[in-house]
Amino acid sequence: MDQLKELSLLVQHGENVQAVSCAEKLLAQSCPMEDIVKALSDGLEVLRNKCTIENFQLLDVLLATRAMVEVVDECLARKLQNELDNLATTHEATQSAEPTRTLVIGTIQGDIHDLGKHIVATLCRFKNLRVINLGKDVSVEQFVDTAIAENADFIGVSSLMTVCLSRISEIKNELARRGRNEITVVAGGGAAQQSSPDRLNVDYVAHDAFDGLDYFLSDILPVKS
Amino acid sequence: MNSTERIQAVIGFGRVDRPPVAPELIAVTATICGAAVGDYVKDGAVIAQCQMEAARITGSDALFAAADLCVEAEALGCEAHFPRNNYPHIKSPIVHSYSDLKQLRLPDPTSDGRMPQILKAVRLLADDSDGRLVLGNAVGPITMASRIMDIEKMLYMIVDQPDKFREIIEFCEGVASRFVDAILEAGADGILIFDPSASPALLPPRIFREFELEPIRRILAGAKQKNPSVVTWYSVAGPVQTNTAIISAVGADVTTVDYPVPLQTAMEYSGHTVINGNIRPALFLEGTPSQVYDEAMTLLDQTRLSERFILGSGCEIPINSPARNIMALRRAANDHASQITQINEPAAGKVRATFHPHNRAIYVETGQTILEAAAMGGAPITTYCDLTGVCAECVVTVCNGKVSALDMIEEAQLGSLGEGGGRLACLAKIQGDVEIYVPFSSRRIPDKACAPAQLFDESTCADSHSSDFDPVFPPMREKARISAADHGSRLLHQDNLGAGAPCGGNLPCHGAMSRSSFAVAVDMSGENAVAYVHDIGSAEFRHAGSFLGPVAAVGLNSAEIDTRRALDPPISRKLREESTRLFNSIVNWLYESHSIMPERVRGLLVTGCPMADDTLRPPGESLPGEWAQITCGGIAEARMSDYPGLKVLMWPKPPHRFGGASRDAAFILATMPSPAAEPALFIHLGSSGSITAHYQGRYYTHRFPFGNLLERPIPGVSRGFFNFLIHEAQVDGRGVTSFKTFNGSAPLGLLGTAMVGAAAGMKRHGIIDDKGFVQGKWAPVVENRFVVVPKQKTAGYSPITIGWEDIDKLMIGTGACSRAVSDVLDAVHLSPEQVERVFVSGPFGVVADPADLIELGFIPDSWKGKIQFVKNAAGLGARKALFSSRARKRAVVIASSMAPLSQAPGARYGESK
Repeated sequence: MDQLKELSLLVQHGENVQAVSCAEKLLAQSCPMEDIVKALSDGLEVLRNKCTIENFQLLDVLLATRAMVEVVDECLARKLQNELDNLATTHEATQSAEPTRTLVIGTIQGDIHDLGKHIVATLCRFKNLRVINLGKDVSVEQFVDTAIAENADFIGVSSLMTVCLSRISEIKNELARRGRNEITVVAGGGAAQQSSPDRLNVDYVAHDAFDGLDYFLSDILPVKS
Repeated sequence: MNSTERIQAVIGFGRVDRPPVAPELIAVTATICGAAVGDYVKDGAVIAQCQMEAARITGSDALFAAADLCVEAEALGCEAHFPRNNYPHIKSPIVHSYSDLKQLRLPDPTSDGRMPQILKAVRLLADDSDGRLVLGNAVGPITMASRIMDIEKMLYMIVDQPDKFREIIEFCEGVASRFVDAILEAGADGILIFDPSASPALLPPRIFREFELEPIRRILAGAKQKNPSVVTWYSVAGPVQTNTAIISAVGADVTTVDYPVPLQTAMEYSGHTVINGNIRPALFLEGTPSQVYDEAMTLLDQTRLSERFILGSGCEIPINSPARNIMALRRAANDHASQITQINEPAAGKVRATFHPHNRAIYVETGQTILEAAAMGGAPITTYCDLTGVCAECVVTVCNGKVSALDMIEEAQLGSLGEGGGRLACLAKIQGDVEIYVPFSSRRIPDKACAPAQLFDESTCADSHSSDFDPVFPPMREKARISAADHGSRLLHQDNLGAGAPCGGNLPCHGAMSRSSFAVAVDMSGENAVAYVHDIGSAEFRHAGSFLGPVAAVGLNSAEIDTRRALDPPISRKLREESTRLFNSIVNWLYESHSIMPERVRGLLVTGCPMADDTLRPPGESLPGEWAQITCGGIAEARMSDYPGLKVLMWPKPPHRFGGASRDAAFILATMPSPAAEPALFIHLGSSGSITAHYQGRYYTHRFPFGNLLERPIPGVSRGFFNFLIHEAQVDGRGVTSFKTFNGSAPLGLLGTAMVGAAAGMKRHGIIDDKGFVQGKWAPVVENRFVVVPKQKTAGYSPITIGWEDIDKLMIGTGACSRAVSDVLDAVHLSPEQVERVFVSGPFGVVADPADLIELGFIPDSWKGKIQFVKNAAGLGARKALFSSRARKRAVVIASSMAPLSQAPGARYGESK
């Protein structure tokens, strides 16, 4: 079968080792990098459809993003001797001129679950978002300080533990106090999903990683230049 | 009765005074009592105090000797961080790779980490439980592993180094088993295993089955071995409906299910386990007592009859939740237990019969049997004989009130049970106001249908009392007398409230306990094979299930199967394999989903089997041993690999082969008491269409190509999501669609029946023009496609739309159909107006409104009042065939005398109307 299709399938199925060697073969045959990146992207799209319908399969998505990251880091980045961000710039330059959005992401203070958030960060990076990952147990001040300093479009906050939910509502309050209402706050994770944007005092609650990704990429939001 | 007895009674199918209430109250007990969480998790005495106080305040029936999820990991050597007002967490993992496993030792529960505190809590609670169930808590092996390892690393290890991961799981299982032993020794009444890392949100079902299922079963079985009356309890958060093995295969006495799981689904798969749950935990934190109360009442309504339910939360109640929200659960349970629905008004000379647990009361004449009163009162009782006391399936308990004296047959059947208030409902007559308890085994619970029940006609199709009653599979012969071992331990010890003695939770579930035996009619002609399960004794329909048909399983469709088999002999072998697999799946499904033991299934009667036509076999080739052909009243016999004792009969016997509507027509006609004289037409709208006209004893059949409009899910959706498809849709004048899915959830796509409804509405309101192009700028139209459901409202976040090519296919279908109708009517010299009855069968025939079929041009306007939808005619006929030899013979005769007008679709039927 067409090798690009094969690469896409391998990524979907989380076959990281085979995906890397498939990508290496393609590069050896002078396949343009944009095509490889598109094949990875297509793989993720199929996975996205599968996930939203059959319930988000975290392990499958994790394995697919690992495969994708390894292809990019071990293959393409090695070729370019650059990091993923530079690749994103190249990728971006070969696409239509799309301004890059910035996302500050983290797990709320008191909570140390960050696996889902880590997947979101990887997917967003792959889709040309500039992602600053603050990790876990992140205070409201840290979120807001970083978002302002980095001129972020979004703050993404994750929570699995219901007891930590009340802190999430303080983020928008702090942004308002500092006159930065335009920064959009998105919540996700098992605890946030049980609540609502009104109760959490956020702009959106994402069902899963792909839903959050869609929101960050969607056209209805203004993009800052 | 006290709380422990109440919970044990629910587990043991016994009677309770009210539904048990057991929300998962862990550290929230500390915040209720004003203690700091950081103090609670560290001290067994604080745990015990807070648990008891919180249980007193909230009215919970259970006490949880539980701190947090890190106890075992800490005892293994992990360092934990203890915030003042939150659960502790592990600072850093101690297992970075497989080689670290060697460094770990099995912790001693009496001395390591905080394990001794849990044991202390168990001892203190056991001493002073006030009759409440004391549950000691441990975590499952994979949850433990995800604490001692970085969870991401763990997930990669599962896939990259499964054998090494398995060793880590084995080690964790050992830790858990040892801890569980110590907990039991300390005096716990039950063991609750928390296993959040086994959640389907994290682990695909295949991983759970491969790595965690057996360890959990062993841990729970080990607990039972140590103490048979211990309650085993398993709790996994997340959408467990995507991994029902957690409910049905683990086999705990109680399983907590989380809020995303529809309770009906949980009950369907519950089998032997009692379900606990499943109110959304955040509601207790953010909501109001009346919101909790309302949700609780809804759940209790849904489970009133099955009673395999303990009210609670889907996962642990969040810290800081106000006590008043939790108290609403007990209020709901109390109120629900005391609500009685009165069916009719009191009248002079009538007495009141109240039935429990249905909580329904009806005024009846004195002298009526309990069984009759129960049927009238909406509390049906099982019975399999002609109400003479022979089957003894209708045992009930008279709690108080006056009934006729025990007669001889009852005495013989019930033996000493009669002294405990046990009576046979068919013989005992009501003589004054009475209260009757109908035990689980005598209760007729409404069907737990699996696959789309609405598509299939659930009415019984055989009258077990008629002379025509001749079951293909004879029922099992049973002893008429009930032995004390079966019912006695529960009925004998009943006090006035009818409390059942605990049984240790080892009683088998409904399907096995009743003496019923079952016969299954299988229609495997289409892409989906459908199995209908009937109780042989009463001929009553019980369950329906839908499976991937063998034709679809080998990647073909029903139109091409004949040609492909002729051209490609290996396909026959594959079909045979897939058919055998289907039969085995059906029996497994009956066990897993309905607790019907395989030995209770007497046989499968299969129609539409693609192997039934052996005219395409090369001459001289004999069928292989698996599919031996035996003449048996027009039936051939197949065999099953997993269940060699189970009979599988194919009907009709080859070389007769029912195809399409000729079969459906045959079945409908066969079900009529006498051949209908009036002209009747059968239209089968399935993936291929066919039309049959019956007139003056003669039959004509005609096929037309219809195209596959059966399912139009969003690309990528697999078969298992049938329940998420829209089966009924209406479009109003504003272009707004209202729709129904089978399970009431956000949809994933459209079924053809919904397409018909939507298209008819679109046509009526001018959203599509005559040619089928989408118009209407005011209607929700995107890129010339009419948006039926916008993406935000679908489960797959893709919009569901109808465009020109869909309308085009529909119009080709209507054109073909109307052409075929006129051809067939010509052949019998009838005009459309002369047709008296029209039967529309096939999944496509299940449209909400016949006017839609007329609007689109499938059928002429003059048939408006004459249409009867028979839905799955093939299935109906197969079910009839289970019980009536007359129906079997007639159907074969009718089918053989069908004269086909045309087998091949002609080119002219490709024209649009």
